[in-house]
Amino acid sequence: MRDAWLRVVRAPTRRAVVALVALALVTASLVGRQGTDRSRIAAVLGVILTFGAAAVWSRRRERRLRSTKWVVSELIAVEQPDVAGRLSRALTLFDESGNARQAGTSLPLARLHVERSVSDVSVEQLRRGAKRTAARWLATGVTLGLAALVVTALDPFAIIEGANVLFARGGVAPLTGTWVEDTDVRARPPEYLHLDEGRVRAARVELPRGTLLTVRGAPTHRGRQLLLTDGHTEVPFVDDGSGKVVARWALGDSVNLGVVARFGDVIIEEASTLAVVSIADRAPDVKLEGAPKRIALAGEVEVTEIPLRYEVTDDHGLREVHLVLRSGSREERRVLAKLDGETRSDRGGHVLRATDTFIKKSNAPVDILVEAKDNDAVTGPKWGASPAITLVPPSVGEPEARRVEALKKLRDALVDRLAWRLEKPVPPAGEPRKHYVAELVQGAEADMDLMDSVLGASYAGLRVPGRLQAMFRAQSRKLDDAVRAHARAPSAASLAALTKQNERFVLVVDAALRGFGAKDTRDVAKRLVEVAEDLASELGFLAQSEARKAKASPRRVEHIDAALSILTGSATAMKRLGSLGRDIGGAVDAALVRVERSRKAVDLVHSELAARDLVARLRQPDASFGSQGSGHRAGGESGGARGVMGEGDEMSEEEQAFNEASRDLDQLIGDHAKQKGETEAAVSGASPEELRSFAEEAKKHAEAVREATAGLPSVGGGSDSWTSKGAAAREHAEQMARSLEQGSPADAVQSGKSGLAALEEARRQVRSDRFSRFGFGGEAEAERRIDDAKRKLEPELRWTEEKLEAMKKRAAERASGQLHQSGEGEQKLAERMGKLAERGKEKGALPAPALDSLESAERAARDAARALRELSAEKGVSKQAEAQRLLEAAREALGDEGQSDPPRGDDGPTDMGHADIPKADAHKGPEEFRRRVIQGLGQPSAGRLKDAVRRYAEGLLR
Amino acid sequence: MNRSSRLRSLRALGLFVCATAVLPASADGPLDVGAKARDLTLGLDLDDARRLLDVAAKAAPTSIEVALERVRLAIYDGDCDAALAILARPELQKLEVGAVLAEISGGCARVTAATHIERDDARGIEIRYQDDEDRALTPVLVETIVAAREALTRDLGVTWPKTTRFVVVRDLLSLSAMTGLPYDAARTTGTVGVAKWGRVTLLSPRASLHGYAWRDTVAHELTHMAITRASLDRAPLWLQEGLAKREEVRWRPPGPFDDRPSPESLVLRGMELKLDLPLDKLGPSIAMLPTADAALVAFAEVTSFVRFLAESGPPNVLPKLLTELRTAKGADEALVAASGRDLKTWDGTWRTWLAAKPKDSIPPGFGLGAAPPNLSELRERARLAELLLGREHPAAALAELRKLPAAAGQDDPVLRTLWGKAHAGLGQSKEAEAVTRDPKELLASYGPWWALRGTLLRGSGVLGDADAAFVEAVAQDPIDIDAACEGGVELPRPEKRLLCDAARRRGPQGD
Repeated sequence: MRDAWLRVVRAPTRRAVVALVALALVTASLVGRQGTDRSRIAAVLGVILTFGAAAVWSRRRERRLRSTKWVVSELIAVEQPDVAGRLSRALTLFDESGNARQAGTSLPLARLHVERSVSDVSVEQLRRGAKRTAARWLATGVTLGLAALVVTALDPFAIIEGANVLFARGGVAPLTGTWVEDTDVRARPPEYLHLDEGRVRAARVELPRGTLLTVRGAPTHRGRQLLLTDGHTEVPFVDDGSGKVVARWALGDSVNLGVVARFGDVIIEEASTLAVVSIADRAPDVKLEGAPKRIALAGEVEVTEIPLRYEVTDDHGLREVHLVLRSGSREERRVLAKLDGETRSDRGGHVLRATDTFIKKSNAPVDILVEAKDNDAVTGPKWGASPAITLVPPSVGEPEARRVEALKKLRDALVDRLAWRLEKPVPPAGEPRKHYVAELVQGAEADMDLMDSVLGASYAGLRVPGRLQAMFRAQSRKLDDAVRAHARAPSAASLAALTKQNERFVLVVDAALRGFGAKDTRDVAKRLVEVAEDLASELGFLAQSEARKAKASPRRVEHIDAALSILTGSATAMKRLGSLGRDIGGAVDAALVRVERSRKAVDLVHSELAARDLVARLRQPDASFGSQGSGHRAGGESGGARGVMGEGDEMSEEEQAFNEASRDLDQLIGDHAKQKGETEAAVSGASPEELRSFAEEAKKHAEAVREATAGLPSVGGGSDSWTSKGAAAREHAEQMARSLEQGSPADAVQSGKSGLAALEEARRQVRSDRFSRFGFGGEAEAERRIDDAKRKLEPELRWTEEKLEAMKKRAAERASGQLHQSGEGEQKLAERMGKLAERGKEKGALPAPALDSLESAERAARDAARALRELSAEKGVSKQAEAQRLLEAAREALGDEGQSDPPRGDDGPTDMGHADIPKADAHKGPEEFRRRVIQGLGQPSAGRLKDAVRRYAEGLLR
Repeated sequence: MNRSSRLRSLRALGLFVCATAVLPASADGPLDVGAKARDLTLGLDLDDARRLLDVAAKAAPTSIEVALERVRLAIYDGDCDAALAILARPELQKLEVGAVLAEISGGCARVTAATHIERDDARGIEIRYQDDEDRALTPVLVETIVAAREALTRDLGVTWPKTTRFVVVRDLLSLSAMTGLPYDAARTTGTVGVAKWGRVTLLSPRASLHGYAWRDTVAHELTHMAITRASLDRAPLWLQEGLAKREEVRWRPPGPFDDRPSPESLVLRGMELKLDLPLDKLGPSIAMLPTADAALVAFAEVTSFVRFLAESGPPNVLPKLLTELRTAKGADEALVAASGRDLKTWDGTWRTWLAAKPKDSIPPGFGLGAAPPNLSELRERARLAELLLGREHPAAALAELRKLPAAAGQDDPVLRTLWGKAHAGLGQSKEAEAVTRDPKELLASYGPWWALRGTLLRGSGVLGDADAAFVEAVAQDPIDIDAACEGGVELPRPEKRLLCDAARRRGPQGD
């Protein structure tokens, strides 16, 4: 019965299962094609579950079919319920192992009962039931199969893609595909290269970096997310509107480009790829003539200029060429050339001076290089750099040491000369005296030559300050006078005078020398602070690296070495600067020994601390020991060289005299400027009533002025045309009219004169035009209009001038008291000038040019005083101005402003007295200058812009 | 185990019992331990202080008081890096005392970083040199320290800690950083040495152009150290400085400049100039007085007073006073206990005695009043002579010096040296010897003068006096070439050669 049923049902059942499995696979492919991890897992699980379910169902059915009870109850009972009931009951006589269920049951009878019941079962009826079941299975199988077929038929390639995606490893499907057909690849180089677009045919191509690659083709399957990729970056293909897809790739580094289709996290690649080799834009090649090389600024030959010649080339184009100066952490760039980006090569030159601010400020070696920037717009402009010319500046303090040594040489020469004069008595008259005089004069000349060379020389860019030069020259003049006097009449008295002058000169140079030494030492120490701080910081960084067990940066090590070398060199230079220099130079040496020792012991923390100790010392460049008490004695705590003279250095009398004279001159200039300002204010002032009355009266004249120039053009027709001059004249007239209305006769006169001058120019222009081939034809009419304006303007100007003169006269009368007072003041100032000149001459404190100017100033001041007392205001003011000019010339002859007080030695009696901070009205020089500039810039010539110009000028000078 | 180590162990055990008894008992425990440790540190019993603090630190690891005393101990121990490391705790630096200790530790760590140390373990001396070149001073310095310690033990009955620490600094800035003495104050009063923080910080003689009496300064500062140890730093300033001035010359035989001018004459002159101060109103330190003249008068006052006390008081009054100070409530109580009278009474007696003293004149060159006459001319002629000698024109130098008014600057050691050198340059030995014959003719000691005297005496074959002159020269200016190299002769002793080499490396100091 079972076999009969199975024969009918088995085949349809199998087909249904196969159809189910097929459908499951198709579905799994489609789900897996989503490409995400979740979808792929779901797909695989679906397939596994389907197969599992089919297997379980099949085994279960086999087991049931082997069960008699199930066959009776499920297969026979469906068609023949009565027979099935009997058979069931018969079967209850047996247990599961086929034995009688109840004791006493006859097994043969029971078997017989079962056999009879079985024989009642109709096989035919059973087969009919099986056919119905088979029909149901068949329908199911067909339905599932059709579903699978339909899904597959819709996009059969999707099933393959899905399966491919399901088997992907590392995000890449195992099988390749073809996604784009009729591929067209075009390459467009970057714009700045100015190259044409080209088609790429080969599978391997070399293209400039920045080239835009356009890949176009027909997609083989619609609906896929197609991408152009190098394995890292993906560029999507987009519809180009003509049924094709296109993707653009900007070429950076070399790549292997391929088309892929992306399904979630998985890509399916195309078999073929395009290998693109990127040709990078090279950095400009920069050559600097002679580089690399080192130039020592303080070498045998003094270097004043460093000529730089460079040549720059680039594969595509250049934008800029810079001169780069680097020193320590400082960098300065200077543009040598700006180019159009097309030029591929450039060459040029530059001269760098040793006095360049950057070099002068650099204590560390300066690297000089030329750098060029190309026009790479893709990756950004690239800089190419030349090898460096390394400029080794003199050790800090080297120029100062040279200057001090030069002064020392001068002092030594003067000391030797003094010894000669002290030791050599005046020989008796005759041949010996002739020789003596010759030797005397020759020696003096040699000293003067030496002084000239010392004062005129440059010491690695440093010079002896002008003020000191002036002081030395004043001394040398006196010495020269003494030499001449002694040479004329050699005697013990003249020799004594000469010796005395020689001693003075020695002391002046000596004091200056020691003062310079101390000041320069302090300056050098302060400059070295930067280097020592740099050293300490770098050692600190190294110490931190060491603490972290990190490797020390070679750059830092080099930096430390450079700083140490500078400090060592500078300490040596400092020691040549005198006692303070030796003191602080020795301290630097001592600190460097400590820095080096701990550095060698790889104890960088203490090395840094030692460097910081050096920084602290250099920040306080005082003498290591110096009591400020009387007698310069040591021993605040105990002992001490009490009462020992000579550790301090006093200012020489000559130096004091020079400084005093210099200060007096400054004071005199200030006082005289104030006096002059007061006189000017007194003579130029008109009373307010006068001005009001003038303004009232001037109104009709203002109208007349405007009317006078009404016939002139208001706009010029070119700078060389008469109309332009005429328009200017009209503007001046307008300004004159306005000044008249405002009660400013002086301005009105000035404007009127300018207007007449402009009219004169206009007339000349008209005449010139008349005889020129480019004449405009209306010359006669133009000349008539100009003459008319002039004729009307002149009387107005005359009237204004008369009014102004009258006002001045009245002001002078009113200010007669004031003028007299000014005259007295000027007289006193003249006397001060005289005394100053006398003192300067007597003590040799002032040089000859300063004395000449001072004496002339005195004469001018006396004239001014006389004129002012006689109420001759104009002459007085003019003479006062002359005296002021001469005083300023005297000050100029004293040398540099900034170094009025020669530097003092350590703990010396530097003049630290009270210094007044000048108020705005204390010194009239600048005020006077300001007034003149404002007047000049605010002249009516500027016409309508006068007020703006005045405001601008005031702003500039505020 | 020998006796001393057994004693040490017993003492440590006692300290431990003390610390453990005090610490857990109350919240004030660390304060008590801190005070005890401070006393031990100030008394330079550093090992005991260390043991106490180690125990206390274990019992109260976060105690601020204990931490501060550990900082102090580290500074006294010369381990400024360790002091800084402990001070890294921010709460310590917020305290006033913490800030002071931090400043000292920072300055000390900076100044002593990577410096060279000379140790003489046998004699318990450790000298640190900020400038390696000063190592040449070691033999003379050690000799001075040993002699001064012996003298102080003899005079005051003081004992010495295991190690006497010296730091020789290059300049006043470093002296200030090491000691906390304001830099300006150090410059104003010309301080050359400070005994504080368990060490003597000494200014190198090379800091001064012609040196200073550095060996006396060593003795002076060691006296301060001894007083601090003996009195637990409770001695008043007048006693500190007066005793130090008294002891600074007692380590050696009397010298020609001792007591010249006498402190009494200086005090009397100071009184005339209103520069004197009451003994108990000298401020925190003589080095912090406003002027060097004020410091000079103050030193004279305390020197005279202490001498008067020592000579008029009961026998051994000074050692007794130091002992009493350890336990007394105040200096006055200690003075009464040691001498039977208080400071006011002693002061009155001293002033009465002082008023009765005849007034000695003070040479104008010494300061305290008007400058010497013709000072400007003296300076100029001296400078011209110096320049002429520098250019080897002794005759011209002599001509310059002869232009000076008669007797002008006769007591000035610089001028006398120039005279001597000029004569010597001309081969006029007799005249040269005349100006270097008697140090008592000089206002003050001057290294180059001593060196010239030594050279001339050696030339005359008076070797003993010549040696003595060179010793004086070195005591004043040890790295002056003429002094250290003894006029250029072959030096037999290696320590002398060491000094001579250092002087040669330093080179001549004239401009």
